[in-house]
Amino acid sequence: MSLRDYLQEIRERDPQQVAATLSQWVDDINRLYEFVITQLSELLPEEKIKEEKTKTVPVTRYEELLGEYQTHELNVSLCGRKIVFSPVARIVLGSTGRVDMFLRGRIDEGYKLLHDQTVSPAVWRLAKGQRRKALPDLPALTKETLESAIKDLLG
Amino acid sequence: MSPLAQAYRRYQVLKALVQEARDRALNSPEDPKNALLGLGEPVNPDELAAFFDQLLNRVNELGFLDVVSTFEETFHARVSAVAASIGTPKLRPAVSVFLGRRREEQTLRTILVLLEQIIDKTALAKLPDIKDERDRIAHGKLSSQPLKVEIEDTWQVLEEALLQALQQLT
Repeated sequence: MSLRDYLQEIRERDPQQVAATLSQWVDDINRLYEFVITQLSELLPEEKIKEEKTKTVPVTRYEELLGEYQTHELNVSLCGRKIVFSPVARIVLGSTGRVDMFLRGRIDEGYKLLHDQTVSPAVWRLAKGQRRKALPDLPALTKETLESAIKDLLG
Repeated sequence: MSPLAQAYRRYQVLKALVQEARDRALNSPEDPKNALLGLGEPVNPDELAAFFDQLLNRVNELGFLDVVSTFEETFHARVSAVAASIGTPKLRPAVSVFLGRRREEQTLRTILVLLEQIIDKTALAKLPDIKDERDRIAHGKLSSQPLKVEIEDTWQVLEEALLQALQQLT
């Protein structure tokens, strides 16, 4: 998108559209967290993930087109360490939202979860480190890829 | 090494130093040196880890601002120098308008306006995100959020935009 198109898009956004985009984004984040908690609860029933090991922490985000808004990080405690899911932005080049997943204290060595609305239903895709692959070439977030990523983070 | 590559290198060095300090601190939370961080004694490992995540975020922001401001400075210097060697009558009108602005008006915004008129769309694609991110940080809207653009991408995108611009002044 050229700068001219981009500025045009900004001008054309009305407040209701911005509010709808933001609401959808916050819902997408919440659904991601529900998915993560459900999958981890099934993978590790003895850990009582949902009951004892998860905590949401309010955070503020700011995006040029959406303004300032409140959302949450999800912290999952495993083996005495915390895995953090942290929303970054709804409007990112090449995807419809990004949430970072990392081990607390290792923010630079985590995964990017990228929201993909080019497929129906929309999926989250996993990218490790610097993203170089196109969105459709990245693996979707499933129970298996989530398990593998968490093993990698804890390893 | 170009000024933008040097800025990226400064960022890499600073980040590596913080990562090294982080690894030392996390591996030895009881180390007396950790008192320097001002987190109280004994240091809570969770707070220590969160402290370094925030510090790395801040290093990313500072590195990003350094890259973008280096771009603004270099763009002004290189475009002015090349334009002077070409001569004003041969310059594209958009370039003449840009160079006719006062120095303080040759900001990232006006650079993007110029670039939009003289370089190809592919090289332009990431520039609005870079400008948004620069504005967010520079205008105090930190909100402790991670950068949404990679610094490695940023300096390469800006370098490419500068090189293309220098070839499109006439």
